[in-house]
Amino acid sequence: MDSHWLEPALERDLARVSAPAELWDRVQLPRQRKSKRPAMRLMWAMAAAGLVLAVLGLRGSRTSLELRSTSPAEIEAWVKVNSGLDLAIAAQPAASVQLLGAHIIPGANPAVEVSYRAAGYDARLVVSKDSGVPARAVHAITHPEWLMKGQRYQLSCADPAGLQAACLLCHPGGGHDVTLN
Amino acid sequence: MDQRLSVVNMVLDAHDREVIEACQRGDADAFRLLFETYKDRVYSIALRYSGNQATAMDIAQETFLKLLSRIADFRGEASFDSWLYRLVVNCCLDHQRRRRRLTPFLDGLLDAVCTSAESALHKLMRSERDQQVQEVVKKLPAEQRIVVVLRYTEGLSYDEIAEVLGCSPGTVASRLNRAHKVLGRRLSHLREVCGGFHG
Repeated sequence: MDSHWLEPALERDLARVSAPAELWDRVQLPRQRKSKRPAMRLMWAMAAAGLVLAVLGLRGSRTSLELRSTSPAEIEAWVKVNSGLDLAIAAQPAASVQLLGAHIIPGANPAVEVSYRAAGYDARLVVSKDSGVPARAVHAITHPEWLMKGQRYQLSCADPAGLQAACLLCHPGGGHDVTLN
Repeated sequence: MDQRLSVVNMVLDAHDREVIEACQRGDADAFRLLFETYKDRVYSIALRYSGNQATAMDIAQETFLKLLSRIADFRGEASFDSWLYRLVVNCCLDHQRRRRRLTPFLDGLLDAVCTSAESALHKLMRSERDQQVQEVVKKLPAEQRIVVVLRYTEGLSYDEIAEVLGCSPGTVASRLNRAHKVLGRRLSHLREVCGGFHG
């Protein structure tokens, strides 16, 4: 085939372009992860939101997640870069645990809140530097606060039945070694 | 920070190992440096592969989030460029797989909505030829399209493409040859109109 004209044309018309400036914002704030496509996306989003609200019986998250992710590695990396805190979520959390995402709690002392479902109930793990103000539990049902490797942990769950399952986020085998306060 | 970025961008090749190691330790500035250095490559591959700006932004964002979560696994056995190319290629292919789950009707409808959402100004700015080439490339099978993008957007050699895709250089040549035939046939009218594309 006579294609001597084709390769220069492809090189020119498929050339590298500059990334839009807002890409950095989207990497920094993954809550804006989805693009602003009108009509169809909006309809899908509204339908999905309605379904989620119906399923959860309006027991959903009270905080807006900056990172929505089900990946332990992705959440750990994002938390590390945005707060300096080290999380130790199990690479393969127990089947009863479903990660939802994380967000940074603003303040002088960096803290992060990891949101997930444990045995079907909303659960939160709040992690902060040991030197900071003790983290405030999100739900009334809490596990005693504990310290580990210079970080302070506070676990809470929407229902007592989910509290034990909430520990499986980091300890899928069930056992853990911490210092209770 | 911006001043530092511009300086470091120029010398990143000499210090990329150091920057990557800092990023592996969770250094936010190092991640920003990597982002600034590679953002145009990542976005361009995503754009040329998907043919759609909004989709390209989704793919590029996903690529950098994956970079953030997986950079600790980078051991330097392959070049960082190859590793990153693999990451963005996988994001492109994953994105396509997710879209395939929609029915062809909905997929076509989404394309139509996305296209109509582009600003009138942008449409004016895009040349007709550029648009036609992009549209034809977009219709290539995924395995041929990614080879075309790596070859003509990134200028990679057959060996380099083979390393990124995990196949042989012969396979790359074969896919490119098939793509050339399709592109040559579908774009032949442009060759005549534009006097052999040399304008």
